[in-house]
Amino acid sequence: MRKMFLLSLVIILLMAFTPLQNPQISYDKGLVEISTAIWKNDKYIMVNLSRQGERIKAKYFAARDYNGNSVFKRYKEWQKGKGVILVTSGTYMNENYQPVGLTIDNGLVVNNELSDEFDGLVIVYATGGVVVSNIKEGNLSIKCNGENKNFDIRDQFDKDEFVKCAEEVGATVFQTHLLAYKNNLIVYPSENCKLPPCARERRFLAVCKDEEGTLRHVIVHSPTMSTLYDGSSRVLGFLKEYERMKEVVFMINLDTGYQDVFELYDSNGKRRADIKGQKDISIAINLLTYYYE
Amino acid sequence: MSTADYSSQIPQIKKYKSEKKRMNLNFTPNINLKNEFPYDKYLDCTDELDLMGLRMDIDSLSVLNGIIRKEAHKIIAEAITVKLEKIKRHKYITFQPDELILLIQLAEKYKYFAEFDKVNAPFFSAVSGYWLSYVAKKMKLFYQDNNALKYNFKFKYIVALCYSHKYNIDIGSTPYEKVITNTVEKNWTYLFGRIYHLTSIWFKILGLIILFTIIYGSLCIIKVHYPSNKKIK
Repeated sequence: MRKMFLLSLVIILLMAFTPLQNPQISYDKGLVEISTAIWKNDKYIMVNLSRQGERIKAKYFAARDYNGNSVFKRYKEWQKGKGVILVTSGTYMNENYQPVGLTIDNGLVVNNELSDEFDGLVIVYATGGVVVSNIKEGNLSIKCNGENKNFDIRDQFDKDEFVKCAEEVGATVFQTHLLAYKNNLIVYPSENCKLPPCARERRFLAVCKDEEGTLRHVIVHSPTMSTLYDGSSRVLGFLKEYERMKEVVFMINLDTGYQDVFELYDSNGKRRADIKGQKDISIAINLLTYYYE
Repeated sequence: MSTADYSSQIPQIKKYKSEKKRMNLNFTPNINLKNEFPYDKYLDCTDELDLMGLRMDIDSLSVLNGIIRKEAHKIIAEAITVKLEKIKRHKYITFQPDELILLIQLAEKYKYFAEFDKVNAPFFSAVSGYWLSYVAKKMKLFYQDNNALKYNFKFKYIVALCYSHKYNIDIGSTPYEKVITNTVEKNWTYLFGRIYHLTSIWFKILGLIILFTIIYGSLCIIKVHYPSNKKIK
């Protein structure tokens, strides 16, 4: 009797950790291209998302909400009835699992501290669009009440106004390493890295304009072990030369270290193994997802 | 059960008393105020606690010199932040928790003032944000120099204050500290989730073996000392 009870308890506990249900809503295959290529002896796996018609949108979950719901729980609730294409971990966190740098989640300020470490500021609009600005250029643009406004958020006055605007439009904002901007590599090689191993698989999000001028959001996964600089350099070259992208508007890093979370779904909602994160989605501190609507 | 009261250890910002004669802010028309404002002389005549006086200065600067309010905000803010920081810098070279707490209290005063003075809210918010960011950055440097500071009560208090104002400070914990903290706070689901997802299969097997040994051992002990049917001779 005792043995039966213990066995039942173990089975119930194991069943409590069943994987996340795959999203059931399908997406338009014509707007998503998943491919693999070999270029200069390196393998690249790409998820190419077309923003034509703005049917493919982005959503970012920056932190747990004020009710204490984790990012994973928020995502689980949100993804019901959505045509999720992929979900990936986002930007950096500190040792307390708090986001690093200026972070606003759906118009709510999570971290007001502008970090000196990361020069890329990403804005994910409530409408699903993504724009990135180089903080050092001091010309961050955001739509406030229908009109475009420019800010240099290194200036405290501009930063306050920008935050107020982001709150009003319900934008999600976070800082990250800007690796490439306006077709140029802007990351430099360094002798050591913050979190060894320095050479690891790399994954990037690049927003590009193709030969026809169509805006494309491209996730590039490079299984070749490389440093951030080497990986960025190779992937930028791959996008420009092999994929013949007219312009790489920006490229940012997606975590393949502590938060190596990545899930990719086909147009029927079935999970694909082309690109797979090493960690379970439930440990994610922040999540970036692309979905079809 | 009584709770500990550390309020007597926390310094309180002093109330402003009108002592200084305010500076005449009527300048000659040709002066480029942005570049030539006499910040040192202005700070000699100003107390950063005198928020009402600062409001009057913004009005005077704007009206007497024909500049827009936003420009007046930036000039006075420059004085109360960057220029004032140069004078006070020596107080924050080493970890002086009372000075940092007073600085946060000053920033809070400015923040609360922004709530009801909507006309000058950008000024008060900017000054508040500058000093809160300053404290957060300083705390990060102090922690990097001496990790043991995180066990200091006032250090933790300042971190909590910064966090309440949405300025995160990167204070790390070792995995053992995290286990203890979450055990004390009874975050069982979090602990279980972390152990389940972040440990290897061998760690899990070892854990199950230890758990089984404890349960089985306990059952055996219970069976030996408390037999269900005592044998009758």
